[in-house]
Amino acid sequence: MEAKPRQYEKTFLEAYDLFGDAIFRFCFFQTSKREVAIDITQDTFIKAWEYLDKGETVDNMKAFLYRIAGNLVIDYRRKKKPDSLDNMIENGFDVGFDEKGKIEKQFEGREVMQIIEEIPDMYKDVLIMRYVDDMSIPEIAEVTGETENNISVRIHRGLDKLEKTMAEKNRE
Amino acid sequence: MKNIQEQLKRGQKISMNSNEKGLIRATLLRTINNSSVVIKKATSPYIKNILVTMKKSVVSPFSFHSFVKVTALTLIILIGGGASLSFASEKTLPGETLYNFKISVSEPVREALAFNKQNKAFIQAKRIVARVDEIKALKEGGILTEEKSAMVKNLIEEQSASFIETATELTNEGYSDAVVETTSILLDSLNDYSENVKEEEKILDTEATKLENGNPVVTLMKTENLKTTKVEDDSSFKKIEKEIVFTTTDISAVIGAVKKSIENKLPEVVETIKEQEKQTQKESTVNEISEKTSDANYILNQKQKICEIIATTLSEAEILKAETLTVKNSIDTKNLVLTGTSENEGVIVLSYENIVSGIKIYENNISYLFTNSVLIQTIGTPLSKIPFEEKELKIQSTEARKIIDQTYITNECEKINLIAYKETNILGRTNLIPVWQYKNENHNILINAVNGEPIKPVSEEYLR
Repeated sequence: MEAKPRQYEKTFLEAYDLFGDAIFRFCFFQTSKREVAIDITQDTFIKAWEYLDKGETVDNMKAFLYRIAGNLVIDYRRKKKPDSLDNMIENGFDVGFDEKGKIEKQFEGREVMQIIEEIPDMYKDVLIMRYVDDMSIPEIAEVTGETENNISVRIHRGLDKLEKTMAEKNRE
Repeated sequence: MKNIQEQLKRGQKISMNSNEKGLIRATLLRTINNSSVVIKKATSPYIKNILVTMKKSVVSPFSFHSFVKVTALTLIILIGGGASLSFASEKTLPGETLYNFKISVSEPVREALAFNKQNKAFIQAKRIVARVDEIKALKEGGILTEEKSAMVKNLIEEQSASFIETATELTNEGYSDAVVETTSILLDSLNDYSENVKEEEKILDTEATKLENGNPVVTLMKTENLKTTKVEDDSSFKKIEKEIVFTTTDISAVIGAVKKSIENKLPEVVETIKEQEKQTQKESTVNEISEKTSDANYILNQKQKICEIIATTLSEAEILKAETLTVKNSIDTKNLVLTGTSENEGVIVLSYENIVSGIKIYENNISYLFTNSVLIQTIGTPLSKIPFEEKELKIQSTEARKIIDQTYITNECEKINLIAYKETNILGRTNLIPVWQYKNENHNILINAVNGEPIKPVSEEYLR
């Protein structure tokens, strides 16, 4: 990114237009809550801007954004307290309201989307990045800090696990 | 396994809606614009408000608090009627569910509950300020359309008329100070708006320079006088005659000029009224009182005219700015959409979503101001041989819209180059329409954005 302030801002907003939805999807699949996903998406871009505004440079904007979003998701998971039903209702939880389920019903892949919740995060993350967000293996490697070989293996195993889990569900 | 991958890919359909996107964008814009200011964060990392130490705090519209607020309000509405609905509708924008409630119920009720006329004038002025703020919010959120702009403009006109009516009554009753005070609130708001417009003009200038430097064949945009507005002369208040030249490149100057004329006029209005009051006290004759009322009415008529000019100016500024931005951002060819073919005429019709600094222009919303159809004509190559299925111009099918044969051209379209601007005249306004070229060993295709006109290839000089 250039140092010229206006161009700098414009490029950043273009990055939001380009990657906003992908970051949102990533957060949504990680948190299962639409409001939280939108909050984290907004935070991700604000954090990215704060970083760039200090004069720091970023080689791969997409990977950079995913890293921030990933860290915020981890923060969210760590700080998430076990919910009691009373607390949840007090905080606005509507019994019977399933945002994710509602969206999933809009497309046929809902079965996979439900089962993907059941496989470990390490596989879920790479499968979402690879197939939902259409990221290349080198890009995923850059975001996660793993080697490309590791990512390839993880994707392969993740698909295996997904297939087995689906087969088990079908037998039930 | 392949089936699983395909099912996973269906998750790509999950996305934010346009409101959510627009609100995040608006928050980012505010953050960027205030990035030199300290940004404080609330305690929770993901459910929180972003507090910026500026005039207004920037609050996440999706925060936990707003979620609770909405839920709580729904309950209160169900139990106790619509009192809280007005609070819920407070921040709504044109096009949102509660906006009509705010305009036709909440605000009029508040106005009706004013304890005196001064308070009523104040509330009316605040309503006009709220409309200007809404335009700003819509623009920042990238959801300002011509329709919404017209709606807000009408409201400004209506509300200005009400305000002037109350102000007239107040002046007649001798409360000219209250009139001046409330008018200054309006001026403050317009000042803010004007500053905002100026900032965006700077961005446009930078973009224009970049475009010219990058494309030697780009025709420079011409500045055209589009509108001339006259403020009538008034002998009672010296010379306020001012001719405002409306140009595409100097929109903010127009707003500034109108504002300045009010600002110049305001002290004179106050002075005149005070002088007249003094005279009235001294002489106390019925005739003089009558004369004073007549003058005061004239002042208010003048103010009303100016209010109307401001309202028109704001609306025109929005449209012209959007139009200018459209032309300048038309080189974004990433979202070309095939909407139909007509082999007999040798053309392919495309439309495109033009992302203009957050303003999305969809084919259904496009009026004469926004060019939406793109015609492709080949030079010396039969249409059937257009290489749409080759690597250079890959087409992906999509179900996103209802148009038959709809296809998306992928990012490969970046290989299409902007080679010229063609000048067209639409409803008396000059527009510069971008012309793109796709050229390889076998094909030479011109993509020319026109508005239903037959395609006219650009001159050969652009093709070299």
